[in-house]
Amino acid sequence: MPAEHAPSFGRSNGSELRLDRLVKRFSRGEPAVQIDELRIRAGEFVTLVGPSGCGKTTTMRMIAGLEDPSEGEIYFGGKPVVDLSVQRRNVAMVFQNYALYPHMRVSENLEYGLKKRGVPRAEREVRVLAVARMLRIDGMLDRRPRQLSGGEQQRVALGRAIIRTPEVLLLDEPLSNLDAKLRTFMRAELVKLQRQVGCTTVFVTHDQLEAMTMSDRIAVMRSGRIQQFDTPQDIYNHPANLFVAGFIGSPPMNFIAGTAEGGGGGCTFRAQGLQLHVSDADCGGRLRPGDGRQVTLGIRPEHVGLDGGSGDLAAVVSVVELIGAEKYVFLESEAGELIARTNADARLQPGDRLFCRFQRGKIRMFDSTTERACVEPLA
Amino acid sequence: MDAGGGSTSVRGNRGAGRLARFWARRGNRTAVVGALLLLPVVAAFILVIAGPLARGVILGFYRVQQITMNTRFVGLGNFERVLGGTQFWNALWITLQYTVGGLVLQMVLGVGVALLLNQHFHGRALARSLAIFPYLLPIVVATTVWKWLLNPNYGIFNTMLTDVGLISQPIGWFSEPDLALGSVILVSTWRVFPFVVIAILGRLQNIPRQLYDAAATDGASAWSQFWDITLPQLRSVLIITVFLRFIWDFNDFNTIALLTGGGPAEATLTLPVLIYQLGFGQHQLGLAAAVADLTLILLSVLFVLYFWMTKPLGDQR
Repeated sequence: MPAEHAPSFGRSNGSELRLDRLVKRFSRGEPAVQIDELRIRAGEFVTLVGPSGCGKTTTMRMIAGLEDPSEGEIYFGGKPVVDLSVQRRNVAMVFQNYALYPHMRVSENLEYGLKKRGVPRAEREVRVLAVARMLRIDGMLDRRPRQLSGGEQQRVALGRAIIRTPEVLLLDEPLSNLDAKLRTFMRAELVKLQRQVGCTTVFVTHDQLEAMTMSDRIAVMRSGRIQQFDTPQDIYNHPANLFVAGFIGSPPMNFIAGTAEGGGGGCTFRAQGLQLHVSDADCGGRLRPGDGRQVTLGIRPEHVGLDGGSGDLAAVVSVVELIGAEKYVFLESEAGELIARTNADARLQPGDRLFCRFQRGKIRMFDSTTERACVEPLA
Repeated sequence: MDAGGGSTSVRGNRGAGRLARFWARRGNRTAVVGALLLLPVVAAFILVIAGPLARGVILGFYRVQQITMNTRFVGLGNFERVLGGTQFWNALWITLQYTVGGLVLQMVLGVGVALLLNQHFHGRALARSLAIFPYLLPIVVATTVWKWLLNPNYGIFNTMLTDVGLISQPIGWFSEPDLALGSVILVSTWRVFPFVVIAILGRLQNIPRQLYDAAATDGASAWSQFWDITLPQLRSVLIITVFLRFIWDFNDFNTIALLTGGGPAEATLTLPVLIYQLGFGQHQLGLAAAVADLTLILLSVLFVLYFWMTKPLGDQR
């Protein structure tokens, strides 16, 4: 965003956001959300990612104050806020379908929050203009939402949220209604905007690509619980369990179920058609002892090399998909189906017989019973 | 002769050729079939609506013989008589009081009840069914029940009010000129406000929940949310409901005819009741038609103004 469009409406100080033993139950039975602790640093961009129904939106609504937690506390900058109504929390939220007030003009939509908080008209006008310029919607302040395109509506929704310089900014799948091209563009725009405004941001999505590309840290959720909270790189390279390993990454990580023998420094992994010695170095961390344990070997498609002569596992090509700069090669082997990612110019045909070679250092091991990683990343 | 015959034949051939070419075009065929399909509806409209309406309008310019039904053109004579007397103006004033008074009560009550029924509570489905009950009751039954309830001799209302000491003697709700119009308005409101409830509730259920969530995060209180979100979202349905209810109440004959018949001492004599009394009580069909014509003009002008002011096409969704 050009420097001359730097916001003159103020910069949020952003507060540390902490969820402490937060539980939400909608009825008797398993809680919809159960988070022991989630500590988000001031000004950080954190994404809650997970499949539909995993509790990420409920968590966000509890942070906003639109939903009351059944148990637990939420702290903004150390202050408990659960007993504060949504109107009294300094949060702003962008909704999936933007929820712009259809009967108000763009300028009225933008200033509504300021008006409700008693900001004088003159200051409101200055801020509306500043935020509109920043988001490049200053030419459409007199229009109504239905006269705007999806991208424009989204920018108005963002403007309405940041104009108040909230302590915490909540984004509920704001990119999901945009077409693919605009979504890619808006991902970068959103991150830049967040850096400029500086407020602590929680972004909810089910799209792992958005989570990976935009976040300082990601909380992967499943069945209301946080599976892993880490940087995108660590989540990708060192998934804490089978769910995270399978959810993050596209195409997903390959899994081969087998047994491990030996331990402490390395082990021998055995599966149908595959016998592999895996050392600590091979799996990029300390392999925890687990003699005779049922384990699952995980390897990402880009770490599966294809070789016509020799390798770790014999396989037959079943489908080849060209994805622009690369190819996804679907393979069938005794150990199960696998996907490999290769260069676009690799000459492969369905029916080709070849060998898969697993890149050493990139192999991951998971306990098949607990589904947890049995590799501790090296410090 | 030959030459003439030949020329006719050529013209005939040309005409047939032109017709064939016209028919060959799909757009023309569609237009003709469309027009033919519309014909029955247009005919029915002329027969059932436009014809009688025109007949009614025209009748206002004639004096009609009571028995023979012979008519004599009197120009604007009927209108002069109607506008020159006091009865029409009184009836118009009473009609406006009845319509506007009823409308205000119906809208306030209707919106209030719709808002309540839009909340989540146990027994909501039952409450919704009960709320529309008065609208389902046949008007004869409803008015008869209310006449019983408010009867000065054996009505339960008077008994209750006397028992608690609010009144010292029974009140003739429909027989005292000062009270009759108000009583009729209340009964009418009770009977028709469910229509407003249904219309408003239908729209309320379609207002996206997220608008309220957005307003709440923007700091809007429940009251602000009602003014800033609910009311603007109800705008289009309110405009159409006011429009319909105004017309229906302005033209309401049944309720008043059944409750008071326009009395006492013309205290509830609205324009529709006056038209009935002139036409079928006093057999002055020409005069009755003139009053009806004036009513039609009045309503038309009012609603041109109303739609011009409210612009219902600017849907706010």
